[in-house]
Amino acid sequence: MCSGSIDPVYVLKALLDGADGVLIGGCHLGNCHYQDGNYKAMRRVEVLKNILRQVGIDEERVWLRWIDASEGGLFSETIQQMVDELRAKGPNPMREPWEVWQETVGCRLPGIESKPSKRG
Amino acid sequence: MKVEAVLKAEKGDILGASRDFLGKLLAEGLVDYLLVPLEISHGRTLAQTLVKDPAHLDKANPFSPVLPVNSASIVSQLTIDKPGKKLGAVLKPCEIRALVELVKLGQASLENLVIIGTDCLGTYEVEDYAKFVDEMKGAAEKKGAQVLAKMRQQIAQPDTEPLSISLRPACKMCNSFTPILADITLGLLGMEEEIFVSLDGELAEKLGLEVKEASGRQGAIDRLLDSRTQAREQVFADFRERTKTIVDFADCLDTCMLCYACSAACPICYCRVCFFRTDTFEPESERYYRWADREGALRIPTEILLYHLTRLNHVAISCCGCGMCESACPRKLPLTTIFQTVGDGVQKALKYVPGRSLEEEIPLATIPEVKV
Repeated sequence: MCSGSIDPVYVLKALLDGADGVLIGGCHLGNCHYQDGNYKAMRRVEVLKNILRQVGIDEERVWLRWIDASEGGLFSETIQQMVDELRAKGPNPMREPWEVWQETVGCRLPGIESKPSKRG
Repeated sequence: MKVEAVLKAEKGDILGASRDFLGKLLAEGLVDYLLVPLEISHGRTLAQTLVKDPAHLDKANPFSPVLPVNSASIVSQLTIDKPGKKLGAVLKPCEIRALVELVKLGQASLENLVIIGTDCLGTYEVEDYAKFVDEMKGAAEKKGAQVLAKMRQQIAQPDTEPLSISLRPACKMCNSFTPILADITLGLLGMEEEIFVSLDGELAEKLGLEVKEASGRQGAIDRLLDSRTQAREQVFADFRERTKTIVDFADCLDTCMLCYACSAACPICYCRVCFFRTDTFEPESERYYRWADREGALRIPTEILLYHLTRLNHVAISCCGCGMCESACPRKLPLTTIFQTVGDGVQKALKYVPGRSLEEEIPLATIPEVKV
């Protein structure tokens, strides 16, 4: 599948289901069979990371790397590096989504006083 | 070449003057159809109406105090397959911005379209407005004009007592209340017994309009802009302060029932069949039990965060701030705040302002400048 056809929904689904990281691999810039698919992927990932940052999800869990089908060595190195960095980060806090809903304090609509969050 | 002119409103009858003007556009054949809000249900609400016969304009209110739908979606329906009809569409600034985005997304056409943009004094929730009109004394046909007069007074003198209903959250924080890309602008800000009109010089002559500068207008716009920008920045700052973690963000959405009303009401969310209405992520029943086994407990529906985060990814760059999502939400989740704040972040990062220009491409469709 072309990296330009990756909708952010698939990346989000993996993250919200508890994946510690998501790697989007695409062909090198200038090598796109469809001319500019990888550039489109860049734009989408840029928006995705921006939004993740704004809603409090670690954007560094999403990796976009250019790896050709023939670059087995680079693929293996990238995976190794990703695993090392993700291990250092620890598990994705979204791993237990039930806890996320447990810690919300009830819809904070304007004018409705909310209880203090457990996380302070 | 555009000129500035005024429409005289006899005895302050702003609606009458605007109706006459719209009628002239039809009579002179400048447009064959008008899309304009008309009062229905004895003035309790208004609905966008496609008018062919000028006789129906006696119920028209181009400065409608409600926004039942974002008309960009309607203009999309009316223009997408280029029917070759000369249509004049009376639109509020947020509707024009959404339309511009839809044109760029290939979902609407400007061919044969005359955009008649109006100053927006803000809009009320449809249900609030109906109730308010019910409680007003006097003849039904005069209530629209009375509300308009009060809204204008409120803006001209902010210390006067406000109406008992308050503007929609999106309108309270709107800082783009004058049309940008309109062929004809009808303005009320800073005007007294006149309507400001900006239009093509030849057209002004044809319609016999008095070409005249509106001296008080810019000052009135600047004053409103100041207070709205302040309100907007405050909403952004509060939201950013209170959503530091995903738990905080989930907090804003915790009563969502996944009815998808926000997506149905959003003019930018144009897909005929939304991904979330398909079975792509719908697992076989047994999977839910496995998830519950793994987590100990599983909230159902499961895709609340996924849905809203995905919609943000699809829409934030083009979000024009009309706030239809929140007005449509049966739970009144603070969707305007979420989409406007996150949208502001994305738009600033990609240096894009939705609805500002037709030439500027939506950044998702452009090639970023990078060294290969």
